[in-house]
Amino acid sequence: MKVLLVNPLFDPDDPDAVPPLGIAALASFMQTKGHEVRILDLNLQNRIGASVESSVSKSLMYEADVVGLTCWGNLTPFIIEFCRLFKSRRPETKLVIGGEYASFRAESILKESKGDFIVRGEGEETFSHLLHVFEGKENVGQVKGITYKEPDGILHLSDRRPLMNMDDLPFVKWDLFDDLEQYRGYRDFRRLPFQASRGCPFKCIFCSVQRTWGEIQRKKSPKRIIDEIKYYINEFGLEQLCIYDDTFTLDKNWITEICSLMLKEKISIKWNILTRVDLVGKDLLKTMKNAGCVGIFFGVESVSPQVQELIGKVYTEEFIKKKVAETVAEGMLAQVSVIFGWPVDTPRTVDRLSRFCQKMARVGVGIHQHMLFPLPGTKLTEEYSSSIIPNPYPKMTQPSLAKLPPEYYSILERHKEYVPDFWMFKSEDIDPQELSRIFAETKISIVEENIHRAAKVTTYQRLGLI
Amino acid sequence: MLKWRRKDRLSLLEDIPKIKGRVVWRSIEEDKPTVIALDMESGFLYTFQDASARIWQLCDGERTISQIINVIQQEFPRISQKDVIKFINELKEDGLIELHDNMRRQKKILASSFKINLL
Repeated sequence: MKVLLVNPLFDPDDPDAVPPLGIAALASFMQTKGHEVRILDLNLQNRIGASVESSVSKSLMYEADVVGLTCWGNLTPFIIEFCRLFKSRRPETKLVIGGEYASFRAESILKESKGDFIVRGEGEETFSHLLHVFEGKENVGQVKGITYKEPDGILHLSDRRPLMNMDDLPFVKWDLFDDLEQYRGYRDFRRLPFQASRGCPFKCIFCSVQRTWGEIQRKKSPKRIIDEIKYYINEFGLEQLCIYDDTFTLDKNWITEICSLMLKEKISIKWNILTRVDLVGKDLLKTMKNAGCVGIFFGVESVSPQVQELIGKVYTEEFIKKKVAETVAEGMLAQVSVIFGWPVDTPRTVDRLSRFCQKMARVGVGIHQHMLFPLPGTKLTEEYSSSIIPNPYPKMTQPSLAKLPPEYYSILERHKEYVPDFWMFKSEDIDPQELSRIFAETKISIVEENIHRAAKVTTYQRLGLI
Repeated sequence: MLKWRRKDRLSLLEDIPKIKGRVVWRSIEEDKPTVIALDMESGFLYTFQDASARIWQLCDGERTISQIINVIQQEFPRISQKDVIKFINELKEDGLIELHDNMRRQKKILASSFKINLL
């Protein structure tokens, strides 16, 4: 079948952009099943991607039998309007929506859009079976993990079990993209995204990873990982790898084996990972550093005990600082993610987090500052649904929104209820305006620290000290 | 923009610029005057240095544009009146400041004092 996978506009001007991994992995899987697959990434086509009309017109040119769309974050409004228009132009093409957000709001998205199917959870196997249905080789009622419309209502078929052998997945065929050079991260640094495992055993209340990928970390074998990296080096000139696993360092033995194979095979690429502060130790950091790891992104979220207790991530501020310091001492770049706006936040917890950010920025740690929003499929959103209120300043708390063209932003405003970043949680003890102001003050503090650090470096350079 | 053009130049100089409440900003200690401002509404972050930072600091809702020009020309002799007005105009266009019509305010004060005298 002719399949077109569409990645809607999310961030039109991301300087670190790499090609989207999820859609690329799905396309590669479908290709191995004998389908003709094309990818249309609307983030690379600013003028086209900002308009539903031009995006549909462009998509129609591919004359696909099936169009698949990735739906996560703030993309739903665009997808709703895209599907409606597409269906009015070419009703015979099957529209399939997948992704994390679609998985948890399947029924309402299907009703709002004129899409035909929602693929819930892990996409490869389910989408493949769905294509068999379109080819008349399988009965729709037998496809696990889909939601679709029947004359008498919407049907959710039972969830599909995740793929257990990750080595069964094909290597990503990055040449499925028309022009990889358009992604700045690839063009400038030969950087590509990578997934070595899926799933996470931690039950963080705000996160939907476990419900999407399962609670068992399903890992590719070290040999397979090395073979895959070598393939990307040989075929695509890979020099940097962004490993997007949610908790990469969960299994120390596995990491150690991967690192020793990298050294044995003389693979000299730079790579960075995401993990938790309680899953790294000095030995592991050293092992990873020796194998080329240059950066670690830690999901810290908060430094106040009452917030950590709510989240399910409890470690002291001192412990976080220690782990970050160990990372920096190994010569790696440390980044931390922090979240403001917890339902249990008080002026004191917010102020403490703000001061933590400032201290971290002062020593050169990268800060990813977020405002908590209600993510579908999370325990937090279910438990605190009555505390959801409009975010007064979404463009400040989610900078990618500020970069969207006005015509695209107006699509989001027409379907506000589907835009997570337009919402936040109310705290009994802190007013949203005050919270936003502290959030803004923190951002400014981080910039200030960066300016001071840059000035210090310049002075040291001038004095010949570095 | 149109409002500015239509306005009498002298009365324009009497306008009082004031930074909007939705803008969070801070002067930072550097070799030269530096201001970091974040517009919470648009999400845009601005960094001003030298004369632009000083003009920003002077947009305190108390001084008229004319008074700001006087201060700037003393501290930065190479900056012209036109430069200051242009920069203030840009800040207004970006929605970072609002301009209070000082002439109207003065007239109102006069009118109210006249009323009081009559009483």
